[in-house]
Amino acid sequence: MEWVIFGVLAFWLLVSVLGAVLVKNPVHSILFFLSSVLAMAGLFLSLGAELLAGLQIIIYAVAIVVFYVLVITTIPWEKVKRFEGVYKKELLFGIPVVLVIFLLMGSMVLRGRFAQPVGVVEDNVREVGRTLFTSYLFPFEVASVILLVAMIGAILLGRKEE
Amino acid sequence: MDIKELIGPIELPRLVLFLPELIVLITAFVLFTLDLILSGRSKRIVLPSLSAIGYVLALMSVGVSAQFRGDTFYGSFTNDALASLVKIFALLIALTVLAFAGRYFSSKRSFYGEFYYMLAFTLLGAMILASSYNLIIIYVSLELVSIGFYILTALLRGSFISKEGAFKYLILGGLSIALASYGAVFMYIYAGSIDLREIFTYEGEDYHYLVLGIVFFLIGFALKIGAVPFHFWLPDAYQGAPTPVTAFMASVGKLAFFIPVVRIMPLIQEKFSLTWTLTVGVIAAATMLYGNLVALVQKDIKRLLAYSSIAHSGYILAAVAVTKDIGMKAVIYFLVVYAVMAAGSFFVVAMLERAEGWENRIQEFSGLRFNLPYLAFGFMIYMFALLGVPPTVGFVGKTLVFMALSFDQLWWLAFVVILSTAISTGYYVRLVVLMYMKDREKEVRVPQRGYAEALSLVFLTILTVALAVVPEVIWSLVAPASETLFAR
Repeated sequence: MEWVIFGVLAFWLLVSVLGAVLVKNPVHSILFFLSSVLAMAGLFLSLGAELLAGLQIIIYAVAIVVFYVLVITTIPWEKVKRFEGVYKKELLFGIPVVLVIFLLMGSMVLRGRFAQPVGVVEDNVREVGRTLFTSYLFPFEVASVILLVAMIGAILLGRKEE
Repeated sequence: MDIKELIGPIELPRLVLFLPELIVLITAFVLFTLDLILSGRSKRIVLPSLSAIGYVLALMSVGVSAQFRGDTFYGSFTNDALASLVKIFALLIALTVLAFAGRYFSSKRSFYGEFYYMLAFTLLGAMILASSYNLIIIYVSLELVSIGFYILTALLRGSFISKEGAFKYLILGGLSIALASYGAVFMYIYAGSIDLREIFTYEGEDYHYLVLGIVFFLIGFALKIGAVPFHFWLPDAYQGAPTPVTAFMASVGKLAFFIPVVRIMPLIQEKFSLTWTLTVGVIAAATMLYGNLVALVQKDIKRLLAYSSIAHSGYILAAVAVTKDIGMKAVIYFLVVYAVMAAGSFFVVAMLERAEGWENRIQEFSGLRFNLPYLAFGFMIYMFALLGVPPTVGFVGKTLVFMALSFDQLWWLAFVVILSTAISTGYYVRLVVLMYMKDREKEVRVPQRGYAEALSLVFLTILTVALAVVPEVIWSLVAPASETLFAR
């Protein structure tokens, strides 16, 4: 049963990610992205991480997708470069390289054994809260500085010169 | 829920270890607030002087925090001898950047008050990056430094190559951070820990995930430091950026991006010494040869210095390949002194760019000694230092690299070091010849030279010679730094 749910969700995720990359209309692309976010939330739920699933829906499906839609509606589409067809020469070089790297990585992953998780987490919210305010406090604070810097930079470079 | 259970695991951070970063952070926020309040005219005086005061205070506090060693913030922030050394030089160079930035930006009609706190935030990122073993901290501080650099690179108003350089840097920088974090994931899967020291002391049966992690992690950093074949963004970003920013990227940026590599170097060598030596050695050889050969044909002085920066990444990587203590010492020494040399040489270019009709062509250097004797003399010292002529730091640095390679009997790599140094003579000496033995091509006059600029250049020039003639000063910092790293 577990595997069936996982398989369905994974298939859904793959299809929507491929769709987001391949469709030409930007709004359709956003919709596929939304669908992939929902599939991801489903995967988190099936793994027993209900807090992450909730955050995924609140942050990605609500906040970020809305933000994307806002950005897309403000872009002047008549000025945007159109799809120019597949880059054949790049594809010819790229695909073998990607395949080789993928095969190497795959064999490494299949042969490797990883460290086992320690203990079972009972209360997701409490556990996330505790780690966020103890061992991950410092990265969390630095990340806030990053967001500030990135925001200032975007405003600085994006504003009209007087 | 019991409140005690919630706050039980919280421990107070030892802020004394974090003092320099804290001061830089506060400086950045003060500058940020003042930039909003002050009027345009007073900004040009208040912002640089306040940044200078903040950096000097931070520099003094490095002296305080260096008395204490250890981890804080639950082991995610480490203050050791290496971190203190890097912080001292990062702050010193940031101070000299301030001296050049104001006039340079004014002459290019792109004065932004935002520059000063962007510089402070970037410096903060570099300082944190230099003092952590924690994968997540490395990731976030790498991101902080890089975002700061992207923005600083694009700060030239109305300049196409500035925006182009920033965009290339953004794309490849993003790729490098993605790769590094992907590698970090595999390392975590291998050991179940995000602390690099624990990852490398973990006794797993098979190393598949670890190898995969290290490879991706190091490719990410190779992109950042501009090692061949991951160097494509570097000349464009260095050429496009405002020159004081280029100086900052080439010195503090390179210093900070190398430190995580330096930190994991002794840890990796315990497990994979032969593979490590071979891989890093080949990359180092390619980087040295490529950087120097391409620099030979450059016509733009900033691009020439950028390729010289790539070549120097190669020299430093050559010492990274060495599996002995002396290799680490050579790496740290060369990193620090390269920061000084690179900053100085780019500052000279920054001053020259303010002259009327200056286009950064190499031919324009001919006869510079008639127009600007002191500046030409300083530039000659930097060129000789980058080439590695005694009695400058470049000579001591290259000697140390050669010595380290001979300890490990890596003769082929030592030969490549000598060969590429010989190649580099072609362009460094040509600049000196142009300045001192040719007639002047045109009148070059730098308007409004300030005391701060002169003082900074004199300081860096003296440092370039003094750190080689009296190496005990810096050696007393380098030696403990590398010994504590190797003791683990």
